[in-house]
Amino acid sequence: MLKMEKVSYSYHKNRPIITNLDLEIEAGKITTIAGPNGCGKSTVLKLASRMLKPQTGEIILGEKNISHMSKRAVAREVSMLFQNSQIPDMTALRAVMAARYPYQSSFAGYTKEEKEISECAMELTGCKEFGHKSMEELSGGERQRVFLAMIYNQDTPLILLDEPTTYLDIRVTYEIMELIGSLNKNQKKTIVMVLHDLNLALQYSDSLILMNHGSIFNIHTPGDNCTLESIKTLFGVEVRNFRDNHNSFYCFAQSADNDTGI
Amino acid sequence: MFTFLKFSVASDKKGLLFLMISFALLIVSALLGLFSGASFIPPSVIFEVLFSGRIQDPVYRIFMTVRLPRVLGALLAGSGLAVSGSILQTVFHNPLASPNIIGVNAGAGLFVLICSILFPGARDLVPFAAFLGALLASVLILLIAMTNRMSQLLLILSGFVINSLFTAGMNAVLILFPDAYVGAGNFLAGGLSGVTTDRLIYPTFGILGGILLSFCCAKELNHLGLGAERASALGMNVPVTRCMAIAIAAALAGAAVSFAGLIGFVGLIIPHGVKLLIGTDNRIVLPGSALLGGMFVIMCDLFARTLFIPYELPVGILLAVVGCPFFLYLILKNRNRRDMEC
Amino acid sequence: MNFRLLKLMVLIMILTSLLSGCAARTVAVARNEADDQTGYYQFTDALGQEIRVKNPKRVVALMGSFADTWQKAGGELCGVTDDAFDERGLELPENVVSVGMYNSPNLETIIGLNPDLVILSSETKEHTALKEALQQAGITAAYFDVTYFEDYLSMLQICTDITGREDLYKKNGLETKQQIEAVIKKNVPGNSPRVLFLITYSGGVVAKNSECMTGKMLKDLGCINLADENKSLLKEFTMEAIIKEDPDFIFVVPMGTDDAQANKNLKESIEKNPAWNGLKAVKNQHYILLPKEKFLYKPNEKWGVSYVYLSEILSGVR
Repeated sequence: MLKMEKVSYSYHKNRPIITNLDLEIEAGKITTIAGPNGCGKSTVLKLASRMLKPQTGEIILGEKNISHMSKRAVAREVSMLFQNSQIPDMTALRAVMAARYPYQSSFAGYTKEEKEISECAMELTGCKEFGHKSMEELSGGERQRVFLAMIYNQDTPLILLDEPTTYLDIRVTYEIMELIGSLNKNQKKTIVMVLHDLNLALQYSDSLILMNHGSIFNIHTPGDNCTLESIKTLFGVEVRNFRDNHNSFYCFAQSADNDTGI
Repeated sequence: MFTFLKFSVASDKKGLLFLMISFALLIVSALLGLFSGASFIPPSVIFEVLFSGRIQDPVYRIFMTVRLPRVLGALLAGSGLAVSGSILQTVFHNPLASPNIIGVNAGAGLFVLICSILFPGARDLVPFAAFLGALLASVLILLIAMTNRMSQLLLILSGFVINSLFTAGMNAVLILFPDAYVGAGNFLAGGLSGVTTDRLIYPTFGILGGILLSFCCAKELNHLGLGAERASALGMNVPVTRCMAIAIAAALAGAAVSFAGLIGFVGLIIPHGVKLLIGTDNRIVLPGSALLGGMFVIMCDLFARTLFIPYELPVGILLAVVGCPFFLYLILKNRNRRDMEC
Repeated sequence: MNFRLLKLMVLIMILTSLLSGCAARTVAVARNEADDQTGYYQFTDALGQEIRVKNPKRVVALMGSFADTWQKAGGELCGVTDDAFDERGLELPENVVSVGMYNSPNLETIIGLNPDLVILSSETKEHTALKEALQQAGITAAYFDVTYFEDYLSMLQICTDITGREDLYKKNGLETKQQIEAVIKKNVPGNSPRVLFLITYSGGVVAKNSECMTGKMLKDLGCINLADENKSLLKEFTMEAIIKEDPDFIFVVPMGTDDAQANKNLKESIEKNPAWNGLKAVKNQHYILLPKEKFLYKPNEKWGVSYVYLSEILSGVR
């Protein structure tokens, strides 16, 4: 679905974040990118959504080079959930309705169908009741639901999520993760997430990409034997896996020998 | 093109009611303005003289050369500046952005002064000079805003600097060419005395056109409120939209400044007042600002010329005296709203 | 329904603007076309306009000194600005109406008086701003610029030509001219005192050169104005510059209505300075406060009296 070939990017001269990165995202799967702070995972997401332009290399979406597509065309293929972005200055319903923009013609108004589609999206993510409240009045969790409704409404085959569960309490976190999971299973969307919480990453991903210093450290399928070893090496932590009938639990603790040199 | 007017969402019924009330208020204030003035003339007399066609009658002359131009001028200046302020606040995502604070008015003023020195007789050039000056100031501010992800505070400081720059330019011109001072009329303080209908012709087109164009962009302006990142991710060309919006705002402010001088307050207070009353949907806020902005300046100009007959107060004083308490009241009423935090 | 309502609003706005455009055209044509074309007096005013008047009876003057000049030419007034009452203390009949302050005249009141002629100042921005509006209202507006005695004389000539009172031109104009010429001739040649002329107002103190009214009077009487040579004195008035120049005479006129405040300013900014007392002019009692009526407001027919006053000071009689 998405391919990065020899992509490099740096925010400041002489300090590249990513160098010659090759990356492939499989369609229809949930992929998580994880790694230490500053490893370049958010940058990968921004490059994939065309927020940033790579200094070298190509990004191929489907069959086409992403930089040759129009903005609207990209918006119909890729949607992104931002981290820590500006709070929209409008009601929740209008924010969700705005997500239909890639499908509207310029200067067109809002139609009744669009309103209904948007309300459906809000119902699915559990935020229909506060549709008429201003976004500033909502709590972090409620706002995240609205942003997810926007993603749902934008209806793209590829969905990028940049730390979707930061600042959320644990119940809401799992609700959001379930929603994301259903987007993948029911809607057959390809999901790429950046997560700090490795528990979530291991529980919900089909594929886990570990990054370090701007390149790929390792790629694993959660559940196979070497995943935990990689995590231990990369982060310098001890990991234990507990299983019962329904769930897998992962426990992390500080490593006795603390010399991972990060 | 007019599909933007389809108010299919339920909450917009409230918005439509608001617009209708605002329109009614505007009509009432216009009538008050036309029928009141330094000389007390009963409305019946005015009607009688107007329809009898007695052109020499002083009542006719007062109505046509003083009251009508002033009310019309107040309507245009008020609505133009209010919509301009509303657009600037949206584009810069900054509640303090308004044509007089970020220097758009000052830019217009400087170019009007330069124009009146270089081409002393050419009255017709003034509105275009004003538009150019307003545009230049807006572009400068936009360039500064786009160079990096600046905080709202820094943006306003930059606007303040641009404003000071152009104001200093105006003062320099006035010192070096004292004759311009005499010809500049009541320009610097801003005011509508002595405005004549022929000076309003180009500004009318500029302001009406600009306001209508802004209505067409209302949806895009709404999307800018999502934030530049999100709007861009949704496929909107943010720089183009911003530039278009700023050009409209500059045209509106320039047109207003060209005949009304440097009037402050309207561009800042009216959009905020409207948003506090009716929310942030630009499809309602823009027309609401136009209507209430016109009404506000008509009423203030009316008080300016009738409170201490035959003395006339500068309209800027009235705008402040009436505007500030009302605005404070609105702030206190909404003190729990978090969007008032900068 | 909503769509039509808004379309209606837009239509109303467009109609209003068209209406105003038409109004502009009709009003501009509303001049006195009907009357016969004889008996008109024509002249060119200070803004270069050709003015035609015929025996105007209802005259509004927007400056006190102009109102005075018109009266001295034998004309009648129906409207004046406040400074005609306050500062000049003109004797005016009961029915004369105030049209506001000289720097803020009320257009509506002026038009309401239905005047035949309005007299304005070409040097006052609030007056020039009214030019087009008065033109559109079909009212004759004549602008004058009076700074020196010659300007007053030519204005008086125009006014007396309009009223036909040549006798008043002689009395209030030519006689004053003779008086002034006599005083200037009397001036002892070779006696060229160096003078400084200051105006105080609520904002501070300012030096003036020979281009202002009193400055010219001083120049005519043979004085050398320090601000003429040293142009920086006009902008920046510093004690050092004064001490360096050390003038023979220092003349001061208070501007504005608050004499007390003006004098207070004078004391604060200048007289408190210890170097002040070392100045030649101060030591010789040649530091003079001049009265407003003679040296700030236009003295009109009493211009000659002002010249005499100054000449007496300069020659030491006063």
